[in-house]
Amino acid sequence: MNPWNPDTLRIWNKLTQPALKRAGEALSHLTAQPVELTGVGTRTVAWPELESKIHLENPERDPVYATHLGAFGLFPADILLVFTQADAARLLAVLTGSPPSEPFELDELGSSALAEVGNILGTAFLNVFADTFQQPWEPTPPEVTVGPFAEVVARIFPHWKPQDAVLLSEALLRVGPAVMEGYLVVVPRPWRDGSSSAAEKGAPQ
Amino acid sequence: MKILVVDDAAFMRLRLRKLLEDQGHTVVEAGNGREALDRYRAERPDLVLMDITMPEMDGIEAVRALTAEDPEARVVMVSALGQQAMVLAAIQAGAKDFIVKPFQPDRVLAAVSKWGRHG
Repeated sequence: MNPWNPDTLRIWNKLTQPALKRAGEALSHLTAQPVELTGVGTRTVAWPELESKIHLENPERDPVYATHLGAFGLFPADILLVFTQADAARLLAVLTGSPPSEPFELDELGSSALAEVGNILGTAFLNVFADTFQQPWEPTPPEVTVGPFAEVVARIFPHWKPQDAVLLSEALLRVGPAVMEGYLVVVPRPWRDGSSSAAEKGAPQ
Repeated sequence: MKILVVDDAAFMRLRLRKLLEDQGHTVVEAGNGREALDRYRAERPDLVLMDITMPEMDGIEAVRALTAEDPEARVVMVSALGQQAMVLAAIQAGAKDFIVKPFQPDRVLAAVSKWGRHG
């Protein structure tokens, strides 16, 4: 079943590029480094395929550092910003101006910084859609989760089942020549009960 | 100038504190809108820098409550939520200005200079 109104889907596809670009610009401002976006786009995937986006030597064991925001208003959606441990450490070093601790441990300030990066990037994405539709699209306060990727995803998205085909917008964000890389994904929630989103009620033509 | 920085992210409060203290300002902090109201009553700051997305009480609600209690309160929003509708809502609630995160330090200092109560 495709839960999407075709007009909404068309607009979602059209706005994804500028919205992700805005998120990349926000990261560039935050880090004072150039940011390159790759793999930018919208696709429908079988839910478990998401895991292949993060390059982990041992996906079952290696932790990822994920900032999650819900979004409400225009579309109910989830936003996830994911880093490997090495990338999280490098990003925090850039943001705080201190070298990463060895071994890396996420302290309260580091967790707050990752949460804020997710908040700023995710909200930059939302802002593009909100201004186009002229309706608010607000994030929930960000939360940082650490653990193997599959566990993190299962915890954050309990409503998705392995057999589900999921619409998502995504990009890999590469900071500086070789500083770090993060994966940003925005997942709108379908309306299984036949109700429509604020966006479907007010989609611009 | 005494400035109340309201943000749920300790990292962002620290960034703003450093920027403002380097300019000779005194900074007090709050982690959400409700705490901001208490801190405002206790500290009577010359300016409030207010985030929007926060737990317990968001920044728009806090500005509304604050300016209802003290119509002379000076509040500048500092938020990632730079959507036209939110900027309008913040200004209607009583905010003087709106700075979108990630902020440029000069933009924050210019707003402090323009909107803070001097002397």
